Amino acid sequence: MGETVDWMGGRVFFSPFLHPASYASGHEAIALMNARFLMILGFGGMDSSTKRTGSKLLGYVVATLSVAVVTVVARSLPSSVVEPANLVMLYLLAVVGVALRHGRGPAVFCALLGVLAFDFFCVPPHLSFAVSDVQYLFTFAVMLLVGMLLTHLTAGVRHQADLTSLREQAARRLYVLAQELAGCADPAKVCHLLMDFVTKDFGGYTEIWWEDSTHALGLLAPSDTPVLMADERGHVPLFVASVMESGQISEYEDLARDGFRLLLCPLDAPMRRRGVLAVTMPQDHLEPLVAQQLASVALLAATTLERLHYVDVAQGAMLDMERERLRSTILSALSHDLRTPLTVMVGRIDALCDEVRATGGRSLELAQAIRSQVVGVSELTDNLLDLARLQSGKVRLRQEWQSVEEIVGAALAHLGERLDGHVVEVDVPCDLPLVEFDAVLMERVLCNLIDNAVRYGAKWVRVVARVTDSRLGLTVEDDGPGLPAELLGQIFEPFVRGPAAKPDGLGLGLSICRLIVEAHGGQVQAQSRSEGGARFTLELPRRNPPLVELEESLA
Amino acid sequence: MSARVLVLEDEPQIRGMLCQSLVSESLQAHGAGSLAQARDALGSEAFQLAIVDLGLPDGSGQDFIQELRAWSTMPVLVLSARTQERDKIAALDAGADDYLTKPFARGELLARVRALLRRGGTDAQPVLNFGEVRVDFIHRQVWRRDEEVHLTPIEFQLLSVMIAGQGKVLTHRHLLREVWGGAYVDSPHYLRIYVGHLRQKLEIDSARPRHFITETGTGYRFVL
Repeated sequence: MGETVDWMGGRVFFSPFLHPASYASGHEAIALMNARFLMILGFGGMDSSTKRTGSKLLGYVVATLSVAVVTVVARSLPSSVVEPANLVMLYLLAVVGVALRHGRGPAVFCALLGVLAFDFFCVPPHLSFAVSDVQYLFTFAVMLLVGMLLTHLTAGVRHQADLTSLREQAARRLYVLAQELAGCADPAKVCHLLMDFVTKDFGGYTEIWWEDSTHALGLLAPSDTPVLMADERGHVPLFVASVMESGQISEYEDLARDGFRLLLCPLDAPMRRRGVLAVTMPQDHLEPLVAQQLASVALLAATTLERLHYVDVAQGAMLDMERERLRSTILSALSHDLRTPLTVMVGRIDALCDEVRATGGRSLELAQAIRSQVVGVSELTDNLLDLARLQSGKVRLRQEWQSVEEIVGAALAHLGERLDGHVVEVDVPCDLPLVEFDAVLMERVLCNLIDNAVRYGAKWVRVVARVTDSRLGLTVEDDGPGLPAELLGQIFEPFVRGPAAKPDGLGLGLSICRLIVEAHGGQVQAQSRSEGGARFTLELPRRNPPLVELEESLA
Repeated sequence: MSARVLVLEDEPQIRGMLCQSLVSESLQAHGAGSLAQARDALGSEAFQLAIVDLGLPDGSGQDFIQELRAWSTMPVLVLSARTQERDKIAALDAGADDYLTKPFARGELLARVRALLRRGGTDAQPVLNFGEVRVDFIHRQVWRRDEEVHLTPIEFQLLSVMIAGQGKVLTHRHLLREVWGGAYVDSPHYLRIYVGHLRQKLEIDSARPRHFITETGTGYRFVL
């Protein structure tokens, strides 16, 4: 397909390039006519290579003309003034000129032609290839040798200049790409710019597989010209995952379409690898330095996409913060604005009750009914605010080593009069180890569960605590009506209430329980007891409490 | 002469309700809506009790209590909302004696006020009886139903500190500092274990204590 020549330490790649149009149409003749020798010097610039092919013939013409001009000048100089041997310099000058302008071939041609012209026109006998003085043979040899040497050196310099210029062009294009990417605010636009770049520079297509927020790879901005096999789209192809894993630029020959090659390049962003760039391009373009350029493009893309990712993250965080600030502002305002009138109402109604009691009025019952309603509203407010706080997931647990017995006792004390007329059994071993949890919240869980049992008509409630090596198990069971089977699955959802519920309450208690237990990394379950009634079981993770130096051992 | 109570509460409605409740108990109430007003009042009159709301427009109730404790042992009752758990504990640590969470029953408020006012006048007694228990501070002995109960030195110390602060809310930090020393203020598990011991030795039902009351998340309260 092409040949590679080592040239002055640089690698030059000659390759016949078929114009894409002719390639696609399949007209061999036109294709051959259009076939031009391209020199892809490392970074493969097309424009300058095309120009160079046309200038080759011109080079030979120029070489011939320069020899002719030198010969005319040589002939016009009187031989008495200039020795024929010195005329050699003029021919060598022409060789340097041709080599600089037109490269090696024309320069060699120029050197040979120069020797012949010098022999024919300048060395006696004139207008003959015969040589009168044998010394001239030596002159010819040196002339040819110096000409070749000059050709070699000059052409080398020329190629270095070409290479540098091509590299500069490639660097400029990369720079332009970098500039465009820097102004990019949308991943789809990044894909579009890359596609443009790869199409222009490599004549290929590209697509980007990028990690989303859940670290799953997905196609970023799918285009009409899929790079990877159609049936592979939609889910992550294995080889994309493997490049993601290895971090190596990899070529997949089997997967490419005919005449194309497929290259997968990891997108290593500054923080970490975040995706894979898939590029397909005509086969003759996959040359080591192209791969190098591809790596630069991949780095630019990865950096840009990661920047966009972090912009997203930052904006999300800002939004979250703002939302959270608003939420807590509303919650605390609401809580303050509701609590103030409720506090005043409870206080005033209590005063009213006292007064009615003192004067022996008959509206005591009415006042007490109002009071219980106000207290109910107050509890409802607490529940709603708690639910809102817990659901936001922003509740900070104050986990300390707690005594389970103490919390159960505190919950029973908190419920106070509500347990009057109910039997509450507590089965908590007195040697139960301390367990780490937020006491205020766990007391609330127990209060809600026990209150729930009483509220639904249980006469008997039992609280049992047991530990295993890694769990604390707490059970609250009752002899109430039990749980309807159809409610078991959703009983911990907010606003779900049993059929026997009294009209007060919104059905928030159990969802608050679940949120609190889950915040502790535990779980809570509800079931009906076979002997009737309900059983709530909650489990919390547990570890061994710190040692307490007992004073006996200190003494 | 009835006791004078300073009511420091920025919500005029609640302040009015509180003052009215106190007056109906034949107490003298003086309302203040801000720290500045409270300072003025304290400068001009003598008070026997202060009721302090935690959220004030010109400073925190906690600062006020700290300021007050520099020169006065006057009992302080803190009013807090359920969302002000940390502030409440800070206020109690700063020297407040008790707290009420809004909304509170009027009876509860007056009972606390009476308890706090009474406490000012009680002298330490050499022997104290509560429930089935008799504590002899002079001989450092404890009896329950005429049977001597053995308490370890730390248990006795804890009992003494709790009895000395009877009726008051004693924060975890306060108890740890008084009984174990400053190095233990962040080791509340010591307190949990030893309060458990006291309950098992002195309460009828340790799961439903009547004297060593748990103030969940805050501390303990000893009641006779």
